[in-house]
Amino acid sequence: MRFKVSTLSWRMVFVLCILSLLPPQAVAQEARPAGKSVLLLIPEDTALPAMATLVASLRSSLWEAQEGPITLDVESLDLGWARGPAYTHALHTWYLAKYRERRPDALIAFRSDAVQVALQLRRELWPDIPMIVLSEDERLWEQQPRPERMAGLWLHYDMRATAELALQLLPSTRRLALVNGSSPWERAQQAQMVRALQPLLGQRGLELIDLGNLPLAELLERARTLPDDTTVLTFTFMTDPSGRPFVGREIARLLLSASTRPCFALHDTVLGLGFVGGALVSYEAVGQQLGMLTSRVLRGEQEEFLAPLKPTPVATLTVDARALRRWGIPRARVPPGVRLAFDEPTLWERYRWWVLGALTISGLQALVAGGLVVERRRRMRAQAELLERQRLEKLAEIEARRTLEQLAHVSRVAALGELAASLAHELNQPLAAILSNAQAARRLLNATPAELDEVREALGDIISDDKRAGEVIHRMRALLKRGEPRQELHSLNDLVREVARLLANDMHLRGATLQLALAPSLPAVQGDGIQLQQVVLNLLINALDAMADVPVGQRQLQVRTASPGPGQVELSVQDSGGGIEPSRLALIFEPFYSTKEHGLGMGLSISRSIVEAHGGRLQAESPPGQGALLRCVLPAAHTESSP
Amino acid sequence: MTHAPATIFLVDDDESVLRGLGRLLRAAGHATKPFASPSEFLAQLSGDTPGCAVLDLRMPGLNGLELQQAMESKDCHLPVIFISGHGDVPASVRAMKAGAVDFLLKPFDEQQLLGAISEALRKDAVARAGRAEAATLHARHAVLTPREREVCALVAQGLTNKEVAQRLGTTEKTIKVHRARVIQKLDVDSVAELVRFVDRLGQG
Repeated sequence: MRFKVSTLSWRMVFVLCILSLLPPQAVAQEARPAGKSVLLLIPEDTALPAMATLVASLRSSLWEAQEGPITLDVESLDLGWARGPAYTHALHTWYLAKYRERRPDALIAFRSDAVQVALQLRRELWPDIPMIVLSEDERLWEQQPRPERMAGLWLHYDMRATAELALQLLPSTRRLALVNGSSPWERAQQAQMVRALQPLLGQRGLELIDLGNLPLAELLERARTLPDDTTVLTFTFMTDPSGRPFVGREIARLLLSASTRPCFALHDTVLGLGFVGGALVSYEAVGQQLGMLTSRVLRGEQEEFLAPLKPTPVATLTVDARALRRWGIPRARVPPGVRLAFDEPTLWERYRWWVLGALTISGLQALVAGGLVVERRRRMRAQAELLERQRLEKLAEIEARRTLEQLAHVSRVAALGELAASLAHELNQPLAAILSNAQAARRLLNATPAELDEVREALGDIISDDKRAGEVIHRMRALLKRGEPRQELHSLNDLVREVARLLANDMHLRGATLQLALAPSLPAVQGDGIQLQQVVLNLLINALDAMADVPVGQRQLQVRTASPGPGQVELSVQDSGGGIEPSRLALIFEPFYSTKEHGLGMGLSISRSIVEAHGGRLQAESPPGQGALLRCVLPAAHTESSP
Repeated sequence: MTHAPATIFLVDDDESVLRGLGRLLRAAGHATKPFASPSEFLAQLSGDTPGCAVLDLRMPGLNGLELQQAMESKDCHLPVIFISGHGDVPASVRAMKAGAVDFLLKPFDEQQLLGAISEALRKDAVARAGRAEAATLHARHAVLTPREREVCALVAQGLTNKEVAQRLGTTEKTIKVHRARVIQKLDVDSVAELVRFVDRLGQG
């Protein structure tokens, strides 16, 4: 809407500039196009269902009734949210420019508010053309001075008839809620409808709940909490109190789903959404009536411009049969003469002959099909076997993946089990320090004078030791975690550092030294962080185990990361152990191959599976005179590089 | 009994534990000397300081048991309390067999630690007193001449002067003179006391 306003104003500015350049005569000169031209002024957006129906119906009605081509121009005045003298003046200027070459032969206006604007525009632009109006306000004709060359129809939005219908269908109603929007026109309608309902309210002793001029949220909330004996009558909801425009049909849907009570309406455009019914105005009929009247005026048949507005037969009392079922209203309560919409015959009633025919044909077909069944069954069996094989292959693949996950988890737990003693030690150290510090602090506080500085230091140590213990647990828990493998970007360097921290104590106790040579700018790798850490952990534990027989001062572990080629990242782990015999190099990746007393023999096997599942490879070398060297090459992720 | 202040020597490669223990023991009124490695401790070791040692069992380089042996070989007899983050049963058994006063599992309560320490200090004091007495006895014994030592040993075995004289191939009179000298030098009043002296000397 806002966009529309701005384009409109730009256009107007442009037109005003052009107009100021034109000599006055040029404006006065008017060319008459061939054929008739009619301008329709409607108060609301042409896209609204009621307006769209009206325009389409009017257009076809004019074409049918008129010999020769007729042009229908439609202008929406957007009176729901735009009004005022400046606006009318701008419209005037705008229409003058727009219709200079295309002076309308008649002006049609729908709804009392548009009629007022149309009258003013006609007075200023085309004072001599006839005007056809359709107004819901019958008092229009009493206006003084009475407008000339104006023929019209009265469109009666019959809220009273709707209320009476509602009371007949729902006799236990004690309250009528009246829903209406907040535009000036809607507020005027609300007042008028309340007046129209007054006699009925008094006569039946009913209470009126005014649901006009409310913000949408409040309206829906009120609709949710209506008393049980309420029936809801709705008119329109084009704008809320802040002037924001809405599509009535959408609001109707919201209202219907919020309302705990049956709702009635006045427009046939919303029939079928769930309203029980009402004196529904058909905008198709409105368009038709307008078209016929306009044609008569254009042909010069309508001489009696002074006749009062005639009521149009455009509203019909209608009830939605589905809504009756929904609210449990007996059909007997529907008064005679009321149209029953959506009263569908059963499928059988409607399609009896189709069904019988179809049964006969399918009987014949069955005979033919019978002959084909044997052949088909043979083919199906072959197909089923193929499908089954495919399914099994797929299952095997899923199973393999799940098995890797499970094995990986078991192996992680086993690897951590090997570390358990070291991890317990690593936890007991800070715990011991914490306990000592806490007990020291208690003694220091009891001393006279209390040694507060020392207590403060003790507390500081307690805090940092507690954090240290927490980190141990955190790192351990991260590896014990079990879950779906995730695809994320990781820095191989970070993964190595994390594992190195986890193993630091174990290495310390084993008297091994670790040299980390991490490449400064390494591309990220993609994959499951826990599994990749597990590979690093396995390689490091393996290397440490391999050095068990080496004297304490010579246990050296070198861990390097590098980018050996474009799109590749490499992790290598070199120990200073006895190395691997060439004949065993291939064996070490076999499951359950272990040289250790306590090993499961799964670490390297699973590591290789994990690396391969990440699109990489894991290989062992044993350069003579050095320890074993394990190389893990992974593809680099395509995006960013890690520090 | 010596009244020099006792010092608790703390050896643990974990700095936090070392600080915490030091603080607790100081708050409990003990003098402490912390060492972050066995080698530092051994370098500063002096045998005559009264006190005890609290050693972490698992340290890189030298473990607690090896450290205990190194102390003994350096003639340091400080009673040892082992502390450990592991529930390592064989290690604790070896430690106790090697004469450790106690073996505490981290994290341990102050009562356990302070109890073990007072026990260790008591043992240290007794051992120290024993060693001091033995040293006095040895010093007194050292002033005897070789012949007097022979006489002393045989008298202490309960031989009569005559028997001693026969064994040593001399006269009873000479032995009497030696015996009087021995009793005088060793500052004992009777033969019975002499026997007790030699007994203690043998133990010391």
